[in-house]
Amino acid sequence: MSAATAGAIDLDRETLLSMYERMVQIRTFEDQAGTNFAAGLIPGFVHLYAGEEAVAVGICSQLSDNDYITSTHRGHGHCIAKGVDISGRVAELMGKSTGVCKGKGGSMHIADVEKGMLGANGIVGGGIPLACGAALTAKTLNTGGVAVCFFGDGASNQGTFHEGLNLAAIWNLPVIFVCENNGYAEATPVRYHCSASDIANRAGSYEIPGVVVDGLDVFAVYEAAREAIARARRGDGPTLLEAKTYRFYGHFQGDQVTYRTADELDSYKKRDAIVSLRNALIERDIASEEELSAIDSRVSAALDQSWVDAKAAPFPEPEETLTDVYVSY
Amino acid sequence: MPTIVTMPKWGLTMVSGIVTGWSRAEGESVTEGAPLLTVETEKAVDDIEAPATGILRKIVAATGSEVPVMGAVAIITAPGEDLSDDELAGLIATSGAPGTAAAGSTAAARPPREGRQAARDASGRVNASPAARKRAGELGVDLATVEATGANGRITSEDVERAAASSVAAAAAPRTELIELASGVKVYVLVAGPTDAPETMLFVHGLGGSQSSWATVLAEFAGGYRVAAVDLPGHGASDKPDPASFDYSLAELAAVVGEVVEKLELAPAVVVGHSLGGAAALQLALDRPKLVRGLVLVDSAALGVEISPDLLDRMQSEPSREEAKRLLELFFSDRRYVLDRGIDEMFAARSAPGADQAVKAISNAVFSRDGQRALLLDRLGELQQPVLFISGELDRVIPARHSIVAADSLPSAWLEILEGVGHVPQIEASSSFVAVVMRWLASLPRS
Amino acid sequence: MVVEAATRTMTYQQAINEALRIAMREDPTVILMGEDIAGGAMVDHLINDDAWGGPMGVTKGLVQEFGRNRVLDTPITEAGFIGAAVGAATTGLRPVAELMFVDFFGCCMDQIYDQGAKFRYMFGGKARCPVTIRTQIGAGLSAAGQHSGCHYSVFTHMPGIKCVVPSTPADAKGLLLSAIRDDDLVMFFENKVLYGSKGEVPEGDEGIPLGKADIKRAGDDVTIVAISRMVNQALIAAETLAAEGIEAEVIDPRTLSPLDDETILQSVAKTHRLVVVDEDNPRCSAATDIAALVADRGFDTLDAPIKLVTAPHTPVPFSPPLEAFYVPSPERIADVVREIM
Repeated sequence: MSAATAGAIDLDRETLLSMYERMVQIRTFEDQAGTNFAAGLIPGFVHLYAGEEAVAVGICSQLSDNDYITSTHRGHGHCIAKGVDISGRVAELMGKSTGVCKGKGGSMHIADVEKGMLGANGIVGGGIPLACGAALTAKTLNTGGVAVCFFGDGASNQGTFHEGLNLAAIWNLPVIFVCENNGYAEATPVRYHCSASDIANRAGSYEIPGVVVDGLDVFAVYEAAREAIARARRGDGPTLLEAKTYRFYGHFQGDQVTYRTADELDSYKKRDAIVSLRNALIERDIASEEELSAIDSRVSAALDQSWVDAKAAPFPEPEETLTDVYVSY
Repeated sequence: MPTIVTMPKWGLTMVSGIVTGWSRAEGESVTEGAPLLTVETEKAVDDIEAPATGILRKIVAATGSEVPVMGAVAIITAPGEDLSDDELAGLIATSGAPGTAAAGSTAAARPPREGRQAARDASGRVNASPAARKRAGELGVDLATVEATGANGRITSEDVERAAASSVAAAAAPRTELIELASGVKVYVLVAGPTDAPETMLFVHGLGGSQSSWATVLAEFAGGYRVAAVDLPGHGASDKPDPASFDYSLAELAAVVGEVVEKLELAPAVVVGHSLGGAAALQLALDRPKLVRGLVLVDSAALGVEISPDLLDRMQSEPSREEAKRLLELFFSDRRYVLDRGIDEMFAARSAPGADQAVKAISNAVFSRDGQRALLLDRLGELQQPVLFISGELDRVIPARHSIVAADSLPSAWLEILEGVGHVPQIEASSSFVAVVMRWLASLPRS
Repeated sequence: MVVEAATRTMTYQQAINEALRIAMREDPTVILMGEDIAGGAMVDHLINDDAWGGPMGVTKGLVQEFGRNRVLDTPITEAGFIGAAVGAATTGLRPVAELMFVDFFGCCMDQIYDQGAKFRYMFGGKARCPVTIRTQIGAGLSAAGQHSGCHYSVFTHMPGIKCVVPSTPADAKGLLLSAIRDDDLVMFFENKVLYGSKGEVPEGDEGIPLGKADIKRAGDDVTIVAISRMVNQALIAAETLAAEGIEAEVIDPRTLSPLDDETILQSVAKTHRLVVVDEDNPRCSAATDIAALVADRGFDTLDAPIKLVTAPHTPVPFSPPLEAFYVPSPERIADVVREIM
């Protein structure tokens, strides 16, 4: 698509295979979550990220535990990309005591502050000011870290979006606002709910860079993020990155998805980011078909085992309800 | 539905009765209202009528057995109704305790929690609920005396209400006391009935009698009225001063009755007087009308001249068992009421120190061979209170005619002549006696 | 003589849908606003159809009858559209806005509390704000910490807001009609666990007055005041207790603001015992408010301490056994009643 793509493809083999594996992990995790939700193993609401993997991986593969991310209700992908323990995530989805949040948070509130993951979020736009705060910490304490704020197209209409961008701009915060525009806020198309043809245009009001990138091209995402992250680390302030992407599942599991057509879904599936990356790796002799399939199998086997372990794990004791409200009380 | 025949409570103090005979055998048919068995109590022998028509399925209390009040004596089944022995036993078991829920009652009753001493804190403050404290104030109940059924030994408002009810019941329960009169003479009274009753009643017995003359009817009145029955001086358990130091005149006896009304705070009382007691009641109503709300004069003296010479003979004779028996035979029309126990009691009363002297002194003061000395018939017009005259039709001591004449002279008075009955209708026709007095009480203008 | 309307069996959510339809038919100024209350706006094949009819389907079918000008899908901008509903209400419309989950009140509280609820007072009685804000409450579906709260206590605390907490389909219909017709700002709390519950619902357009409690079960031994779904829990507990000889009176306040003080006080005067069952958190809550009412004005009628059966002072947990611990159960209610008998 651009010169940026050519640059990213020059990444070393290890990095590329690691990105591939992360994307496959996300896809496999989400497909299994969909199956297990339907089987009644996952309580509550589940919002799946499948289709959007290139965004999380293209960006998080450039972050360390020293960097923070904030996430959304569709947060599984961000968690995996940021390196949160997968077994703990599976167990959390099932509400088991071995879950990363001891079964208290569930799908919508998975977090691992140690890993720089400040939580999935049940409130649309809820993470945007939080990311500003994380960036303020990094800047104040001079950690060299940055904050990446993932949010959807729907959140770009919330007051928190506008307040957060303005704040980051005036304080010159090391934050990257990543709008994952998958075309729909729940069941409402972006063309209805948003006044801007490109959400990235809204950056102009705050006089920060606004970049549109193909969210189905992991190299494009990588390149755009590389610049934004470097800018933040240099102390040059925030960037708004809009990744045009698509979700393969509905808003939540159980959504009949009547608001979009089968043709539309197919057209996006033809551009599946994982397939594209796989083909590119093979075409350019970076990895063989067999090597990549071995990765696929390894990911599958590991996740299968995580589900087996999570199923066997105990639920928390009811009294656990009363703990963790305060640090001290 | 089977019907359980139970031992009735005829007297205030009656706790049991002895079955003296059955007029039907098990398996025979019985008719509602027909005599079924006879029962003897301290005071009387009477028939118990069948409460239902049907078959006398089971005699629970054989002749000679003593049965507590409300205890089962028999079971009558409806025609065609069959009961197993187990069912019979169940029925008998459920009878007896007044207030026991009928068998097969529906909703599960709230399990009563056992009462216990209320908890107290270190300062001694009783653990009572706010509602209990409020109710205790309203009912004047001392929380320290209330048993707690609430959680943690807490007194509830129900506990207070229960305590108040039992203290009302305690006040209503019969008790006896000796009242010291201004003269220093102590008189014995039996007091019973609710303290907040609409009327108070004082019962005054006849010559040679005692408050126990009213035993067959007092319970009925105590159910709805505050009642007292007095032993006149020289009688029963009261002092029996020597006639030399005590004036046994009718005026004095009336003054004693008045003093009792005052001391027991009964004024104004309905005074019920029998025979000589009727004369005393009437005298009191004339002398101190404010103490008397109404008069029930039962085979009363002082309403005419005639008096049985036999009575005077009995009064003047030396006390003996034979004399006592003759006296009772004179009193009752139905000889079944002349019981050995009654004779013994009468003899014992007359033999008590000072009793005979007192009876003779009163007899001499009020009666003579020429007839009654104390005649108040002419003064009936002065009465301001309502009057009920009752006489036994066959009274051989004081003729029923006296009541009839007296009632004729008082247009507003009620008159009841009880057929086939002698000088003591409250015993010989106790239910009729109670019924007419109750009707008359109900007719009284509200005070 | 009151003529009883004919009834049909319907679900709680059907009853709400019916009330909305009646209100929109009778008053052209009634409009609906909310996130995906139709869904699929500007999708070609859904011009006169809904994609969702609300996330739970409660508003399904309304866009077909009333069109997208009266069934307004909104962006996910609670401060924006709730505020717009308040503004529209103050100027001549009668909006029914949907705050998808009450937990989102933080996104729009200024518009509700500092604006709509205070206008009339601050403007010296010269404004009215006839807006109804429908919102989902309640734990039980493992919707976790940001989609499961009750929070009606927060709104009850605030003057200028009326708070409605229906527990049955019939109450939901009658109270929603009254809420929409009411000229004040009304928060209408729909318990998501009750959406599928069924009951008899009267035909017709009769409203149920706000501020009138309903005695859902009569009894002499203990008064149980229960809110929203807790009415059902209390009724189950009452049956268990009845088998033990304890007759509970179950009172559904139906509206927390205004609160029907008298019905509660009269019942406690009869039973001398009060248990309040509330799924909301226990501090400064509807439960403590009702307890305070009786402690204040019914103190002398009490034979036992007032007991509260509530959620704990924690957010709503996700895991099913934790959530089951969180929500007051019939067993807990019965145990507490036994404790004070």
